[in-house]
Amino acid sequence: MRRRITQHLVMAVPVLGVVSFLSFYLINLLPGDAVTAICGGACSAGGEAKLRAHLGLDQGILTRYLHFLSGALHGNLGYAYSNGQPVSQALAEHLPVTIELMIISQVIALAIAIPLAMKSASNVGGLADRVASAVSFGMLSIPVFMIGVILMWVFSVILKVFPATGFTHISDSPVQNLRSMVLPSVTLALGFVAVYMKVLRSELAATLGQDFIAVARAKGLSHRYIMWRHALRPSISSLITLVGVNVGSLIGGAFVVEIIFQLPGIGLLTVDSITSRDYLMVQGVVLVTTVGFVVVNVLADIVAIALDPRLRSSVDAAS
Amino acid sequence: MQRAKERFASSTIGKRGIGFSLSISWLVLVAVLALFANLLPLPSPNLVSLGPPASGASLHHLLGLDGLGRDELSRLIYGSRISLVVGLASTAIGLVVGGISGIIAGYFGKVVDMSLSAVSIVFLSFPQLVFLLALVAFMGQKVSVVVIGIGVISIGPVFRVARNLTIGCRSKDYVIAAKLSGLSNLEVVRNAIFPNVIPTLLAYSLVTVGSAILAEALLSFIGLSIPPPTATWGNMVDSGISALQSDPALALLPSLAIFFTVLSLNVASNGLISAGRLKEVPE
Repeated sequence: MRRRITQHLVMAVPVLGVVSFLSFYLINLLPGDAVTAICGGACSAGGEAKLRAHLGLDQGILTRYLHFLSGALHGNLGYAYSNGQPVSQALAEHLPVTIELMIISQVIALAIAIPLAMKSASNVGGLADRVASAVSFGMLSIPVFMIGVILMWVFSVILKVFPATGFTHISDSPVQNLRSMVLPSVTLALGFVAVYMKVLRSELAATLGQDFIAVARAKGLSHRYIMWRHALRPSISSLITLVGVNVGSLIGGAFVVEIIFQLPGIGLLTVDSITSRDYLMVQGVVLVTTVGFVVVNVLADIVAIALDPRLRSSVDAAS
Repeated sequence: MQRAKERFASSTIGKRGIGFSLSISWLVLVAVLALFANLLPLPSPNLVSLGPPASGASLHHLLGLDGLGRDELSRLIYGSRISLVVGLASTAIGLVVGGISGIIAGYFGKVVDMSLSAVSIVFLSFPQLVFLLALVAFMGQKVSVVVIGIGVISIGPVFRVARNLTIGCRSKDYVIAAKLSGLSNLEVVRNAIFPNVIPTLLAYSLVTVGSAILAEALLSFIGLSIPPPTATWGNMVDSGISALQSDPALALLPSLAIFFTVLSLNVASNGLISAGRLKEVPE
């Protein structure tokens, strides 16, 4: 097990290198650069060249990437043009909000999906199974913002239970903080329930057909005990991988929800920095989202290995 | 009784279900309205009418006016054009690039498969939405940029499906027979692989059209797709949100249009695959 985990960690290093370089390179390909953003067309050609040399932008892409990387490893990602704030500081301010959103939404999604999947899988083709699969099929076609708009309409406009927008920091008031997190988290969670349920349901249904479940039933164990203690663990590894992929993509990808509910997370920072062409901020945000994506996926793989001994033995089993 | 049931189950509608027929009807309706929007007795989607904005339905404005006094129905119908064009064109990119490379990877296997699959893994392990945002923000909010951006994103999933479908029939007897009869690789692919892969791939691509429509709506919603005043379903939802209190229909109608269209595409794809004796889409 330790060997497999080390293997995953070692594999992550080159992936991180490739992904971070590619994202640096792709942003570099976009038209315009920091100088055009700073000058806004007001500088002379000589002035632009001087500024470019001053910022080191006249060097090759690899040199600049290595420079960026060594800065990043020292926690220095440069400064935002818009307000001179250190990029790393902006990231540190926005990241906790996104992480909180991610954790709460995944907990809600799993808390709904796991029991539903168990109910469906224990009677495949039954009423509960058909209703659940029809509903989840529909959920896959709903745009995230529609869920957000409907929830906002029902719970803040009509019922006035939760605030529509606005964010309270957890240090200011934990209760208010949770209240402002409820609608955004549920919005995100509902989108995931359908997928999670579908994946876990088919794995559970396959597990339930195996001999050791029949033995457990013959021993007279209760259905609920069998589901939670015997069937869940061997069935959950693909769900964990999927949660990893989703959590990873949420680091920068939750921007829709963050925009609707005005949560100051990484997604909002991403959209703001892209629309204001704040290159160093974009660079920093993309670095955090890509690295976060890879790291979370590796963590998910490790959790899956820890839970499922079958994944420990051979290299092929995981893929 | 049992006989009648069986006969119904094997008929076209019974086989695919009422949901399938409804989905096809909705898609045809949306497509026809989008194509012939100019011929319909509708006010121009950007024409600001006199009279109170955000007012409810009337004889002249069947779905009322939006916050700026423009006809909501007209904007819904013209907005569908963007969704359909982006959905179809970006899927075409995904199908051509992803489909061909997927069939090549699946057919040749070994090193070819390994290298193409490695590229697809890199593709899939990027935060794609962030790159889509950056692309559109820096290259301009034009239909062509949106189509290319979403098209590139759809290459990965199409590649995987095409590759797995091809692997599924690569070692079948008819492929081996075609190879043994001395056909070139191109002819084998055309005569033995295509007929088995293309139909399922096309049916699956309806799902891709749906995700492309969702992605465009998302971009529009945050103001990074085709800019206003051009109506898109996504920017209609966005501008409707500010009037959520007084007129929730302004945000809900375009949301529902997106939902029904994407749902119909998914149901249609599912129906075609499960009842058309097509292969299951491999994961």
